[in-house]
Amino acid sequence: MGTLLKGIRRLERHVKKFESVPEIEAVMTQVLMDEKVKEAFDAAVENVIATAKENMSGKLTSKEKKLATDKATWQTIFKIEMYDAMRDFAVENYFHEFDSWNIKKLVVKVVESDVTPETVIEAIEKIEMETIADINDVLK
Amino acid sequence: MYNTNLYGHFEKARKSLKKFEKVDEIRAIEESVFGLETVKAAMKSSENTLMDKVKSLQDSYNGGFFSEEDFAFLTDEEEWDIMFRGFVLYSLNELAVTKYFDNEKAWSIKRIFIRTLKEEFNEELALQYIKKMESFWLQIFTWLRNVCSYANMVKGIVATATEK
Repeated sequence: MGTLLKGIRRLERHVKKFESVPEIEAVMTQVLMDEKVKEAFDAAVENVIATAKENMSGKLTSKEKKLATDKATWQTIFKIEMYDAMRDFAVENYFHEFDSWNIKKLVVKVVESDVTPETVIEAIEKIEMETIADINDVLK
Repeated sequence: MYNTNLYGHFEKARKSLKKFEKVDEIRAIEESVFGLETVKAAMKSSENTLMDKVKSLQDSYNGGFFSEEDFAFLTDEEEWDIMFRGFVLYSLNELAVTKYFDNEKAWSIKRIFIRTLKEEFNEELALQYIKKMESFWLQIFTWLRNVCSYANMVKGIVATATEK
């Protein structure tokens, strides 16, 4: 579980990196304010925490247990997984089409043309499923 | 062609290769690894396996599995060279973005890609990606064969039912 703490620090750096780009921040803030997205986001975080609680073994320290059931931590994780998914999608779909080698430009392109409440909900559901599978693997 | 996306994969590989090879530093490292005898031999062997698969599919359907044009394309060694080299570079690009993106303040793919090439790209990884690419294409061809068998089975059932 040491990797969890390390991972979270990485994710926090990651979130900052994406949110430092005004075009990305503006669209994502707007999308995350959408009622349906908020609902999906909260439900996913709650499900993940419930899974963590169910599967928590004695192997974890109390600090780690607290972290594994902390809402704010999971919200950060979900956010960054979304940014990661966007970045991967940008590289996968737009890298070949543009002369630019700049990830920021490619992600902005994705944000402007592909990010909608629907695609974000889809991404949240996918992240939820993968995270629950990971928790089952790691915490069991 | 049954799955028009086949050309999409080749097109993507071609574009990748063109973009990567524009950068002298990338081209030099890429050529040095692809110039290794073991890597050349592995790529040739994988290409032959895939072209044999294409030929066997074509033969098993009496020359009717692929159109003449598609068959010529899929048995062209140069096209497969581009496919393999383009996709090895593309796989390395994914590795670069996933592994080094967080640690760099820069958003430049070029910068983290060159770093990845210098630190990670070697004979072993090239061989691994070549094998992965071969298996990816074998899966596509198996899927195509299954789709075709299923389509033929449906046609057979419809013909039998119509006769009755």
